[in-house]
Amino acid sequence: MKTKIFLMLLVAAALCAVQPAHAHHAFAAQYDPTKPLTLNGIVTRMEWANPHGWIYMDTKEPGGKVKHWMNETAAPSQLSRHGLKKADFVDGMTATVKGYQGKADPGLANGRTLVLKGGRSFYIGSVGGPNDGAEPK
Amino acid sequence: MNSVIDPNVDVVWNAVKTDIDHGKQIEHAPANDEEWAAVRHSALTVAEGTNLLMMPGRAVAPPGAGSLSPGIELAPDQIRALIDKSPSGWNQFARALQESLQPALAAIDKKDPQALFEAGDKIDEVCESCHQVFWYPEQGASASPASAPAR
Repeated sequence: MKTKIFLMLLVAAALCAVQPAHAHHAFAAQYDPTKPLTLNGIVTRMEWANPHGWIYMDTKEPGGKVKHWMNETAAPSQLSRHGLKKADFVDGMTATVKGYQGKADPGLANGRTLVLKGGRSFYIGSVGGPNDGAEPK
Repeated sequence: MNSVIDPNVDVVWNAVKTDIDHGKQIEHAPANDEEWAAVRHSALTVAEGTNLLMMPGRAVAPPGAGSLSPGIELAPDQIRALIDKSPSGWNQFARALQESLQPALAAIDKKDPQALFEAGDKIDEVCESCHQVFWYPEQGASASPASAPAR
């Protein structure tokens, strides 16, 4: 029993270490609506999960240094509603994410629009973002 | 909310997801009876936790707790005041949350990952709807950003 509890705690600790915060904070609590950004880079990972998806990207900074980004997206049901599929995330894909800078973490952003190579564009914004025209009518 | 609902609903949400790593889809779902039982425990804790939410006059946070994001998200005493102003509205959301857990519990009992994933989406909708009324009611459309620098 003690071993089982220890293992459960170990798993919980490991999950805490890699999971982004999932609490439903207000958009402005985590992201700066006055700091829009455009990220051009390689998508390395997509977490198709509730209550938010996460798109992980590598971009190149001036000087060539690689910067890792985590872009929060809407819930998968919303992404699907806007036409995005899990199969759209292929190995080595380049993409553009337009969104807003995170407040606490320089590698955190909230994605509003995802544009894939070839020009297919998807609204990926979560609830509560700025009224910036990204959301389809 | 922070100690009972949130950590347990995270267990329900995290139970089923797809991790697409360099194009490879890795499906995550409870793999055995013990893991399904753990998710069921959390789902039931959230469902029963809604009864605590509906207790009249119950504190919404421990004494001394403040806003997690001052000026953006309300402090516990402000949330309490909103609840006292509209207890029926608050209870309606609490009941909606309780009801949103029922499909999740049914999916867990059937060991159906897809149904649990879809149930998680409905739970999310209820959470967000309530938060917009009682936690951060002032947070609507706010910014008209300038064009962003490319990186």
